[in-house]
Amino acid sequence: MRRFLLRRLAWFALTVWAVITISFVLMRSVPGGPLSSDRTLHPTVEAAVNARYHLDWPAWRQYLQTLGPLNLDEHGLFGDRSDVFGGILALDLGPSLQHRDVSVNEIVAQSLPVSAALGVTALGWALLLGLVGGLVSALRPGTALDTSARVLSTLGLSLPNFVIASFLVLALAVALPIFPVAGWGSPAHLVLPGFALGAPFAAYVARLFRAGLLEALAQDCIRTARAKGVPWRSIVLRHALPSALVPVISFLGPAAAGILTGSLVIERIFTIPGTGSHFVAGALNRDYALAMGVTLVYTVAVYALNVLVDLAYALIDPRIELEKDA
Amino acid sequence: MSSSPRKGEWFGDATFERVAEQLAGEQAPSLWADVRRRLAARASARWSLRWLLALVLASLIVPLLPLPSPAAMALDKQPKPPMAPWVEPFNERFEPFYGELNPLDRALVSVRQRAFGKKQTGPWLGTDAKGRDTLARILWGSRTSLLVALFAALTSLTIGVAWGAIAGLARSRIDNAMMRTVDVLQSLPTIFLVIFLLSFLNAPSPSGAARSVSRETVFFLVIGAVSWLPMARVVRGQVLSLRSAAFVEAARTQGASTSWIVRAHIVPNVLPIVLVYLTLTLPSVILYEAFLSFLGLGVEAPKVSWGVLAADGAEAISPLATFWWLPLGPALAMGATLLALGLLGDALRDALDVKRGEA
Repeated sequence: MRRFLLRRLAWFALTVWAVITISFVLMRSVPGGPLSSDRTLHPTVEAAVNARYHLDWPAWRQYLQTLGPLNLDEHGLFGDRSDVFGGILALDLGPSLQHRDVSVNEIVAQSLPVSAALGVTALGWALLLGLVGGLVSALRPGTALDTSARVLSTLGLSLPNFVIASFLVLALAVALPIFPVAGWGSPAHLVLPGFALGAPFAAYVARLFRAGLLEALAQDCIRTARAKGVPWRSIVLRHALPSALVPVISFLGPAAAGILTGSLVIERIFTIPGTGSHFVAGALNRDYALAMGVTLVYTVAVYALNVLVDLAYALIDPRIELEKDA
Repeated sequence: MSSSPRKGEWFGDATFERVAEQLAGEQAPSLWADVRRRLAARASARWSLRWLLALVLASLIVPLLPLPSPAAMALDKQPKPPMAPWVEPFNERFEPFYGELNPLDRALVSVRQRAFGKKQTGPWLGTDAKGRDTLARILWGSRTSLLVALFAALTSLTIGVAWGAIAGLARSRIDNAMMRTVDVLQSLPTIFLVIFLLSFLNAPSPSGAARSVSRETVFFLVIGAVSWLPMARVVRGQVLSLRSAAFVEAARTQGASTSWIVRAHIVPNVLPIVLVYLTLTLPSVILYEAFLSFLGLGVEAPKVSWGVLAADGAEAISPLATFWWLPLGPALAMGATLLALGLLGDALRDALDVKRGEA
């Protein structure tokens, strides 16, 4: 257990380092500085601005500065701590280049709860629809109910989430004005985006759960239990359900990552002020600090979720050894 | 289960007949003949194949069809709703504006102009906010989406299969190093890096000089780069399990060379899983293209793709005016194609799974 966590921590550090380095290299290899797209500044002003963001430093020093509080200047290894850049090791993502006077930390702190609420709603939709759909089709295989559930789930997997979102908006916000078209603020604003974001994952959960249940119900122990006279309901709930849930739980890690990715698009459609929309805006406006900061936040989130899923996996199925697949 | 007629052929007396047949010099049906027969027996697989073939054909010959140009705009007009083909089958307002075309397409377009002149189909699927014909755009857009799929299939089949096979066959240290590389690449939030990369290339270069690599090239490279990773993993797993399979051991004890084992045992047994996996990769790549296009990082106008069209459709929705046909067309095209790929994949998996019979 501890070995597993340590190992994952080492891989995590490597991944974060790779993300920082790749983003840094990408950022600095762009022709023109991040500020050059603005209106032309007076050379003195430009020099001052560059100095503020340390763009006048050599690349290796900027890199160390971004990585952590190691700017290796005349103040020594840890530099002058009143600097604008605290460095990622000090959990300081630096100032945003586009939104003046706001730090990336502040933007993330403001927008992350919004994205988290959206993501949890989406995951809730995915689990609710997926588990109910899978259960219904597995208990009545071959019926019209099963067929329609399977068709719906195939459809959910065949359409991009923003197409699903546009039809939802057309039907439930424009034609029948039940939910708001876009925006943020009330629980009603969460319903449609959450559904659109969760729909593909609901479809996948339904497939996994149906297959898992059918396989579990075909086992000999189930036949024995039926022969003994165990009520059907408790056969399904106590014997078949736990083993059918294992693949669903292992899918939650990739699903969480996919929901984060999908939120980039969904937040844009519904104009939700979440982290994803900030990332897209940051990348498109060449606000490198913001884009890199959000990338890191998402990397950490996905990694942490995957570790949690692996732990949950081992708890459910004692046959799985954590050390082996780390 | 008892209704399955194939069951006995694999596990019952029929096996002996089959062996006897083979001994008598008559060829028993190969796995692939079996697969073809099973696919043909399944209506969903037949229709999926037909749809995909029709789509590929249509995307190849689209410059020849008497369609309006996908790029010719009429800015003064409102979006036109779809008009049934029998109301306005054709009109004479064709404008030969296509933007940049490669020489082959230019030739095809000139053939089309000679054959049909100013004649073009009416707005069967409506027009968009810039007066461009939706049907023409969907058909031209299918080229980009199919090209993306083709490119991803090629990288999966070359890099993915080779990487996985070498890792599976190599000694454990090399295998470890190769698979850890795949692990790190897969745990990177590629989508963020991709958006980074594409948005940098998007930015106007300050000197105004032409970029050495076009964004489209990078777009394709990026899609290829992310699509081979799962394939490598799957192939390696299969190769590893084949390596320790009893029939491979048997071949080895009889003195078969490694290259012979690879050719006779490994390749034929890896091929099915590669095919099935390909039908899973292609939909995800087409969705990936749509995703990037939605963020404005896909192909550049006047080129179109399904992703661009779906994104335009999603943007056309507002409470003030509903241009419902704009999201509907690309959604139907994309949905039908991905559905066909999914159904074909399911059918292929069942057909290749000889142990399960015909479920």
